[in-house]
Amino acid sequence: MMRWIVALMTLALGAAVIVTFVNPEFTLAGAGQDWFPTEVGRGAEVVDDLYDTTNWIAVALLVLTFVLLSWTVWRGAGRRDGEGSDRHGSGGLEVLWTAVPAVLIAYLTWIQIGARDEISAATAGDSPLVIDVEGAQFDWRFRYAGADGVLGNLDDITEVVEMAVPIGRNVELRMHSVDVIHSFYVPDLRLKRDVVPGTVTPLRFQIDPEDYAAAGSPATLELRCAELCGWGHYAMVGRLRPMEPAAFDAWLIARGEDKFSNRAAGAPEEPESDGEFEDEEED
Amino acid sequence: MGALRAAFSRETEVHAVPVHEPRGLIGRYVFSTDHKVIGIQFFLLGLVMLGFGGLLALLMRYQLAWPFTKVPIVGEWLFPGTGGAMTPEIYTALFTLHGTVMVFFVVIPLLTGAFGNYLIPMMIGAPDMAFPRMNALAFWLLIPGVACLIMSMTTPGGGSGAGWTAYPPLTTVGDFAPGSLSGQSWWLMAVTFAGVSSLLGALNYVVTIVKMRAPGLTAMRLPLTVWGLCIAAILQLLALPVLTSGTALLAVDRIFDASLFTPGNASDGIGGQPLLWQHLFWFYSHPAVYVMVLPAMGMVSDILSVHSRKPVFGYRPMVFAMMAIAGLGFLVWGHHMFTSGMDPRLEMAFLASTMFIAVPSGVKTFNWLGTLWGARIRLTTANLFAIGFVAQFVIGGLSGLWLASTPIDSYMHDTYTVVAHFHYIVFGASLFALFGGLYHWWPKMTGRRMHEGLGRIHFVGTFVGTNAVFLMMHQLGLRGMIRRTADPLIQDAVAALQPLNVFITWSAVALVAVQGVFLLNLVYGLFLARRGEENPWRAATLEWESASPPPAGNFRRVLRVERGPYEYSVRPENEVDYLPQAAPMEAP
Ligand SMILES: [Cu+2]
Ligand SMILES: [Cu+2]
Repeated sequence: MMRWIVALMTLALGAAVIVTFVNPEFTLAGAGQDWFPTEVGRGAEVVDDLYDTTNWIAVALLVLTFVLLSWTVWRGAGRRDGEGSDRHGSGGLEVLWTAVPAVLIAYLTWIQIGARDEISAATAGDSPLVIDVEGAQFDWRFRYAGADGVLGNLDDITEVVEMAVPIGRNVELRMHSVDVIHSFYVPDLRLKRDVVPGTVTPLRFQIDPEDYAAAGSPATLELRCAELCGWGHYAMVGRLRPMEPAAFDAWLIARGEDKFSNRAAGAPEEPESDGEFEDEEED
Repeated sequence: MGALRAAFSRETEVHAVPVHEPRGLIGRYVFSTDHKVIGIQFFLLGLVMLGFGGLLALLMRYQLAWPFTKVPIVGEWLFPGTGGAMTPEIYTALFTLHGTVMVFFVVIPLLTGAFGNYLIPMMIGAPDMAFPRMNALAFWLLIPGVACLIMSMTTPGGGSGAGWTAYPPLTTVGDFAPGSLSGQSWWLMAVTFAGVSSLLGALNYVVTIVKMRAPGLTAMRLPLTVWGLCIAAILQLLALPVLTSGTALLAVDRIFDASLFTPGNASDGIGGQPLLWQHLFWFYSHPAVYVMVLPAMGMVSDILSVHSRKPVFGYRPMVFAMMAIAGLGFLVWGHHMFTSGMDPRLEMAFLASTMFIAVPSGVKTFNWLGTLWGARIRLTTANLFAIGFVAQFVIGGLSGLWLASTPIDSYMHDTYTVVAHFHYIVFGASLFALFGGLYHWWPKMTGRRMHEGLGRIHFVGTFVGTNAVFLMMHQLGLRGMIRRTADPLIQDAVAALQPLNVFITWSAVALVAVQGVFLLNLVYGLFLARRGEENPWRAATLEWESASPPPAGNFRRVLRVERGPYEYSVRPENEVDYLPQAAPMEAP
């Protein structure tokens, strides 16, 4: 009785793990979506492909080990006293199950290193749009170069929470933090990079026009802090707003003009941050 | 290494240690220097802390299923200030405490402290540890450690809210987190006490194993449990000083504003380097994962072999695989820092070294399967938990393939996929080995057997519960749910999967409830079970040469070891199908 329970439980677990690992295109009850979020980054599909490749190897090993485990247990528990083997090992098998996994692992390592290069090559090339990103407990602040094209002077354009980015153009973030470690995480771009105080961390990406269209052109992409940064960590969320390049340029110029007209009219200067933590939570 | 090899290769001399029976109840049961009493003390403390850590996990699960709502039953008592609901501050303190308790006060003390203490002298035929008083000190240092943890929860500002990883500057600058006031300092002290305790224990284990083996017990005749414990102890000896100096340096930053890990102004780059702490911390804490799993691997090998009446398949490859895991384990700490912005060349090296740990891990898995192959398997509770260990170790190992790969990790790092991955190892593997070990060595410790029927219910419930809790966490992580979030609903993509979080929470409730069966079994095994079986599993290793429970001094005679530890099913025609390690050679 117990041998049946153990064997079937093991098989069921193996099957459940395979189903969950291979990221099936099942529609979830009510959600109607795949497990992975949509993918809109240039080069980001490499991550998904690598995940799939890794899983074919993982699934092969899962099938092998779980079938062997449940079979040996089911069979062995049915043996009677005196029927068991006293075999101590096998040199040939040891060589086999050291060498075959070693080759598989070497292959995986090789394609992973290749994928790293492929991802960085996808956004290589010069003159990216540079955006300065500042992480602070518990919000995101963005700074664009103004009309002079230089970051770090008075005509910079500042934004909070929402970062507008042009579609199909390389973007280079220069990320830094004013307090603790944060992490810039955009699931749809398959990107995550820590924002460490005391250093400026560069990060490049590009929203791929075709992928973006294929993903249904979402109006915003979720940005969130992935590194524990204090009690408000859970709510340190932001957005990326992908824009057509022409619309983006127009928006940037308009923002620059707003800023100066406001200042000329004696309006208070653009706030560094909206400060109110609760404000961001609402949307 | 040469000296170690020399120490292992020669036979140790016979020891005739005078055994002095301690006098009085306190001398015998409280301030005892007997390794068995100390081992049991570690068990008691570890199991109490396991219950505590489990309840913390339940509170966390409640918050994740129904964020910021009133916690039923205990809410008003625990969180009177908020009408019984949790605040984000409380939630961060909860997961920090859960991680700290489970790593430093449950899994490490139970595997190395409890099983290490109880089993090492028994399995190598020694009367006690090499340094019995230091051994007692190792246990008693945990008590102030626990006291410091309790203090950290009750100080103004609340417990540390920086996670068990305690990354600065969150932990060094008081303004950055409420718990970074004195709560963080108490936390540092608690971890330091636990670290020094492990260090003393580790030194003791290595010396005992090297110097006090029974005559004839060469290195390649040691049970794999002893090998696992020995390699784990060596890991601790090499890695713990780094963590302990790290915590001391962090304390210097906090108390004297030294700025070792705390950067100055963001733009000028002056000041300390936060990544330095991450390097120091993971240089210890990755090997710590192997401290938590190598003894478990050893115990599982022993349990599978005894209860399946079959020699461990590939004993030597098993030993070498453990050594390889431990050795590679020192070269992989950077895989916790793939997104930290460290040098890409380092990234590549850590990627490769981490991937290759899969090879010795695979060798172990296949040898466990080889052990079961063709065996006459008894599905005792101990064996069931060992089989469960193998299944779940495979799952935890394979999800590690994603996380070792930097491109995939840059997506999955700090998500629930990581939470799922390491819980498959520390819960699905280490804790299963611990349960298996308890069922297996219980008759040794008490002279009674726990109830097999209750044990089977406990196993099936725990196995189903564990997977119900942790399997779907992979999915939440694939969807982008971050770790340490107090409110999954805040992420739009994840909010759609909230039914999964509710399901996991209910599964966790069931998983904790099933442990009631285990408590019942403990009571049964302590008081109700029949006494009198000296070696109920017919195991061949030395600990069963002693009475059950063993007297002070352990063995009535000097044991002479004649053979390896796993001679099962070697005499199928006989009533006794195995050859005890210390049974005299038969005349040819
Ligand atoms: Cu943050
Ligand atoms: Cu690690």
